[in-house]
Amino acid sequence: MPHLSLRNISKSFGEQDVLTGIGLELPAGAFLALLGPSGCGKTTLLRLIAGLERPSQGSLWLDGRELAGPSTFVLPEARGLGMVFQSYALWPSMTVQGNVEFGLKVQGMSRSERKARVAEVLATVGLDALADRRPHELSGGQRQRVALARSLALRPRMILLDEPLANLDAHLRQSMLAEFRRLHAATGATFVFVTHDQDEAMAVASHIAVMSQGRIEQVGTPETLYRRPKTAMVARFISHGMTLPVEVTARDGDLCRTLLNGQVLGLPGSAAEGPAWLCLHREDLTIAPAGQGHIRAEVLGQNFRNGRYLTHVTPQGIGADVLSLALDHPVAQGTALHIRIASGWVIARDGGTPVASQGAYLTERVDA
Amino acid sequence: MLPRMFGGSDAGNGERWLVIALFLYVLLVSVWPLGQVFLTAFQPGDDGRPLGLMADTLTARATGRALKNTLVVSLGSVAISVGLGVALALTVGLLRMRARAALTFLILMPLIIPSQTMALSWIELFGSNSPVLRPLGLAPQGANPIYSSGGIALVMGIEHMPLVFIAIRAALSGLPADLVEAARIAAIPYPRILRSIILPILAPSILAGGLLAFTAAVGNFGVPALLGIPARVPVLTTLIYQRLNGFGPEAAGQVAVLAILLTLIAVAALLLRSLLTRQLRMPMSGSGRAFVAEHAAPGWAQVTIWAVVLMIAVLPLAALTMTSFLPAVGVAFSATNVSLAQYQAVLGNDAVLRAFANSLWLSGLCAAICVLVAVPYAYLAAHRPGPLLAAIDLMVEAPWVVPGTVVALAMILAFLQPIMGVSIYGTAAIIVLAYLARFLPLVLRPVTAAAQLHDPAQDEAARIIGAGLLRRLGQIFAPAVIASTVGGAILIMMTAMNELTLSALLWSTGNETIGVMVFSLQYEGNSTAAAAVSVLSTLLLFAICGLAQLLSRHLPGNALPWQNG
Repeated sequence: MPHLSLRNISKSFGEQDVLTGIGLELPAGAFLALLGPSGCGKTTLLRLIAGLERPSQGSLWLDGRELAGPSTFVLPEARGLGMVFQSYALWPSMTVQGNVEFGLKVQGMSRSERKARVAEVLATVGLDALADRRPHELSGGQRQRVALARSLALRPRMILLDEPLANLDAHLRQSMLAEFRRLHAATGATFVFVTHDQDEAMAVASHIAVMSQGRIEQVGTPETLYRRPKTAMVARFISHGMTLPVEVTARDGDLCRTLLNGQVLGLPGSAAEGPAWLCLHREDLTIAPAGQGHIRAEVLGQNFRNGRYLTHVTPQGIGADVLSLALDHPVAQGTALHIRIASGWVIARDGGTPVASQGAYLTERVDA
Repeated sequence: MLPRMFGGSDAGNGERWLVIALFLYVLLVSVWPLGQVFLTAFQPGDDGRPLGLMADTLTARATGRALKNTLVVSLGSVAISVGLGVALALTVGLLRMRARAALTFLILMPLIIPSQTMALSWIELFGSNSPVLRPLGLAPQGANPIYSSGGIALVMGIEHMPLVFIAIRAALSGLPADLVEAARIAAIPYPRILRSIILPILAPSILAGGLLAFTAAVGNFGVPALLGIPARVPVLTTLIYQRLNGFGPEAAGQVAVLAILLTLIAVAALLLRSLLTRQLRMPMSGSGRAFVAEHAAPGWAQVTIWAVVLMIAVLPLAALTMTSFLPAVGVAFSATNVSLAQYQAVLGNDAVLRAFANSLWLSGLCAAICVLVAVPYAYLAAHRPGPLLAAIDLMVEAPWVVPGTVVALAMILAFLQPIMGVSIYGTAAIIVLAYLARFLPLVLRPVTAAAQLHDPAQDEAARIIGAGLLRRLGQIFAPAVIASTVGGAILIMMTAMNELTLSALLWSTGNETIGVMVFSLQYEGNSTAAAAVSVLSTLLLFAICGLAQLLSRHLPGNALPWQNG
């Protein structure tokens, strides 16, 4: 039996459909990242799980109990979850200790037990020394830890995190990610984490649900999403992926016979015969000696990154704008290169518009 | 070049002259008259003792009694304002209910209705002839219970309740939704969320609203004048009025001491308020969406709140309106004797018509001049701040902060003697000056706030192409702050048209205002005529509101004071 189960959930605010046909099953103890660009509905989905929004359609189950459905709705206070808000939502009239303790007090836990529990969770997040501070006296990272401690104190089965790192600087983000992994292992609770940053998601999650325009595009482990994307959106969103428009002429066992630039390549993939996308990552592309290789391209520019030269090139005659690959040496702008495709993943293409979508991803790739 | 203190280093000469002109204006209209009150109060006594006048007045029995009454009725009224304001703001703000906009308007109405009209309404509501209570058999027998300390506290408490309501509503609208959501996720029940999370956040606002209500009560003249004078419950404002009326300008010295006392109480409350707001302000870490009520109010709560609001906002006005349709004073209201006799009488009365004309042109002129002062001031404050401007900023607030009675007294003291052969005492000019001093902040504050949002680059761009100060003021800056300017001007019109506090001390024959007319008709015992004039003035007020509403469609943003929140 899955731990968390979302069945065909839709949500609309008035005329506007925010979520459509969401289905998802998650085992206990998982660390799920809801990943997508802003406005894709990921926060709404988290708020639906929390009970802060009511689904317009579909049902939501936790450990075999229906939390929301056509005729049932369990209020957020009765769901026994923990939640960390993007703004942290610390109660300003209470100290750190008061914030953590309040839920326990309301549950009627005895004073001594409460004290022990608060001390324990504050120690877990490394805030024991700041118990008497007020929220406004803390730094952003410390507030984040209080919010975490507050959600941990009630020992919930599941903790929901709404873009918890959005308000922290890059350095703190890395240490908080490590903290999340550690707490996830230590508590055994299920974590559901909303983020628009695929690096964050890849760094912590055991499962990632990629969302776009109110739908789940694909759910899987980070490796699945990386190696076997289901849709062009996922392929492009994960790890600066690139897509090339190709034609599959036949299937050959697990391989697709793929027509690219007048040459036939045998590549793994899910596409049937017909128009297809070839999904690539930077490491799938290498330089070939002159006259060999699959694509001819001209160097557009380079930047030095992680010890290598990230090189942007304009391919010729294949209907794509820009490709990127890592080289060991600098190359002058305008140099002609021959590029070999070492591997890739082929998916079906349904009348897409390759040029425009490639263009849209240019900025993301160059900035990254 | 003029020195730097008249404007920042980037200010041109035009700007510096403008600052000096504004400074002189504020000096003449506000600082010098208010200064006279202090100079008079610190005079030696009749026997030449230093500060003798002050010692004599402060030890007088009448002073002690008025001071005690002032504090008692003000504190009583604050208790009512806070109790009602908190209950109404929490119910309307935290629960979903039908016709919330109409409800909010009715709750704010006591603030729009002038004091003397409020007082008159409650007199009619609780009279033995009450057109509302008598048919129900609930009219009090014998003396009207509203003529008492308790009555004054009740009416002032209701009149100033919106101040508390507005303060809490503002705090509630800034309450981050996620603070409540976080509590719900932690399984905290609603009453506990209200008690332990929401109320502590609102507490500073409740306190601040209460202190504002206290200041308003201490300085209120209309209610204690109509209720307290017949009931022989003198408070400081009415004591000043009675002394000046009884003894004329000879009483000015004593009265100045009373005015200082009144000012001290009011200013102390306001200082405490700004101190508390700064000390207790709860820095909010939450962000994002504001809290929105999602739970429907239970039926009993909706019924109760409507009953309360009808009781405080509608019933008294209904009693007043019904009284105005009586043929004569003392007649009981019934369907058969409804008559327009009072309206025919007051509309045929030259003095009443003159009062309406006076109030309209006095408030209109005041609004126009205040706009002409406020727009350049706001421009300078936003783009060329300097030390002199900061001084002006403090000075313009003074006549609004001190009670109106003190401002009126200040005008008498300053302009009693002819200045350079011209005497304005006993003319309409002294009323205009008093209005200018007191009501300037009503337009200055919103325009200054809007000016802070005005992009300085627009002004700089105009400078680069060689536009002079007047051109930039008129064609670049003024259009950017037009909405708040019109809003402020309308607020001045509405406030000045119905005020009584200033004109009660400054009017002269031929220069009566609507407030003075209502007051004197009631004072003469002609309560039905007073009711008719009050109803007409309230209709005029609503007409201006409506006109402003129509006008506001052609203005950007929320121009009108009641459109915010």
